[in-house]
Amino acid sequence: MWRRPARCRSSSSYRANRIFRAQVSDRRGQAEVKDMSVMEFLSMGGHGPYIWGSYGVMALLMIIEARQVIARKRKALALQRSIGYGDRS
Amino acid sequence: MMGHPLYVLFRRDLALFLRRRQDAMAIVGFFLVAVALFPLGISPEPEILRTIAPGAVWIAALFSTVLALERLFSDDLADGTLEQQLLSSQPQNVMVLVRLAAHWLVTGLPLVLLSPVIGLQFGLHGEEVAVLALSLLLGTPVLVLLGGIGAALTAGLHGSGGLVTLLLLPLYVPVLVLGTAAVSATMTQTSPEAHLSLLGAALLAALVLAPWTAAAALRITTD
Amino acid sequence: MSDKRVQWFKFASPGNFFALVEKLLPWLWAAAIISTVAGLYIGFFVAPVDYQQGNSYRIMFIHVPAAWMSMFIYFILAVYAFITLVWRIKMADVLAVSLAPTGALFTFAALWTGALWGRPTWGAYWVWDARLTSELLLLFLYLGYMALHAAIPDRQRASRAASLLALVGVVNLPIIYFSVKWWNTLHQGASVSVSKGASMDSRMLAAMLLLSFACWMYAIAVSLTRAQAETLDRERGATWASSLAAAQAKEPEGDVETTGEVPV
Repeated sequence: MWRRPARCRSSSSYRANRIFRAQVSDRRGQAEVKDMSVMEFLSMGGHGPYIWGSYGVMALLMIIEARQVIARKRKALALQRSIGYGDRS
Repeated sequence: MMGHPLYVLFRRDLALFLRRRQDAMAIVGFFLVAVALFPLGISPEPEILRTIAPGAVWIAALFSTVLALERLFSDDLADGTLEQQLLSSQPQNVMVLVRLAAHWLVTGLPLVLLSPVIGLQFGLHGEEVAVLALSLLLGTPVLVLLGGIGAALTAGLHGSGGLVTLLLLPLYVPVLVLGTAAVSATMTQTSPEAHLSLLGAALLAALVLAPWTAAAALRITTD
Repeated sequence: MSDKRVQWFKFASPGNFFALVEKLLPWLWAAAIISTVAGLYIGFFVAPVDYQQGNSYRIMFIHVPAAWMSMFIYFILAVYAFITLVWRIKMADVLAVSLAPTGALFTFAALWTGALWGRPTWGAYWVWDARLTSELLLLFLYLGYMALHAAIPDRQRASRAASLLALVGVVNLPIIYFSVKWWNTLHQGASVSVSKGASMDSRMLAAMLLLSFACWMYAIAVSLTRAQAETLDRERGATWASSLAAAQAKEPEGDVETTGEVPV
């Protein structure tokens, strides 16, 4: 994991690296706050591919379905306009 | 009894099957070929054959009964006899039950009778062969009864092909699982009683519910 | 009879249905998006790391809602199928047909996320245990419903045949739901039950409930939009459809008086 050297810690870059404050539980289930970097967050303790693979596919499916359904409705409306509006000028 | 309309219907269906004897033989032939493909496609090792035996026989039986079923109502729908039968004064669900019973006698019963021979070919022994035959005896009627619903829904459709199988798969799977599990249980020295009882219960439930549902499906088809 | 009874059946008319959905849609989408953002935030930044499963348990936040939706949508579809068969109300069939693809999507999502959760946690993408197999069968039920509806050319016969099929398949739902109790296999037992309350951390529960709500709003929004398109397709020549098209065509010109007028 890449970390910025301590002497380069300006206030903004320090915050950029420590964006994520996540809660980690120890064996007794007590919560403690641990700061993690973006890379740590993305890797999710090694389970990254599974987690992002799940969320990613689900998001993809929902976005595709929503777009397809809205496009179909627009097409139906357009078709309706072209045939239904003709005799109502 | 002899002249009773339902009995006449039963005999008529049987006569139709026997008249086109090659159709009935084709179904049995399909079953034998399908079963033979498993050792050829997977492995002829005796141990493996014993393991796949229940599944192979059951899957072949499932496909045989279903494929035969697809045309059950199509022909009668096409020439109008189906509507006539539905209009008759006989209760529709009993009429459907009678037709499905005739169908099973010609397509299902031969499979049950052949299964011991096939079981022995796959290396099954005494009790396992008996359980295999018994599971098929209980299970194939259920498959035919459920398949009747699918056949009624898809009667007369062009190119419906394996549609009935797809439609009824969710209902067939439990029957398949129970049937094969019964034989596998016998093979591992556990009692197949639970599985066979559930199969029997499924048969009873199907006997009551399926003809009524299939009759409703036929009414939808001929409406 | 009282006015109240008439009002419900008013929406069995396609024109009123279309107008009602138009008004509801923005709220549904807004609710879906807000609860998604809130749920994801809590799920990833507030809920702690599980000491047994590490981070992979976070898949649960979408796996459980997807599974719930897959079953719930099928149940609603079966209700509309029943209405179609018994009362022959056409709008009921429109709604059932519109629900099916969304239901199939959630079923697939449940299977997919379940597989990806199973691999790191229990070592297997898939096992043939009762719950997973019946969920797979649920996917086939959806596909069978859509296939049968599409295969029959006569629309009335198609809607009634597919409805019968959907009702026959309803027996699968209790099997999925109770399979975890009946067979003691791989899939874990229920951790959220109506009678006993939840046995998980409240932050995890919050994320899961928020995302469930989000999926629910999304499903309603998408299905209703599809139902609108389906209604238009079926009722091309109807008066309400022509008026709707006329009203919409005038809108771009900023003509205030003619917006949104749909005959009752």
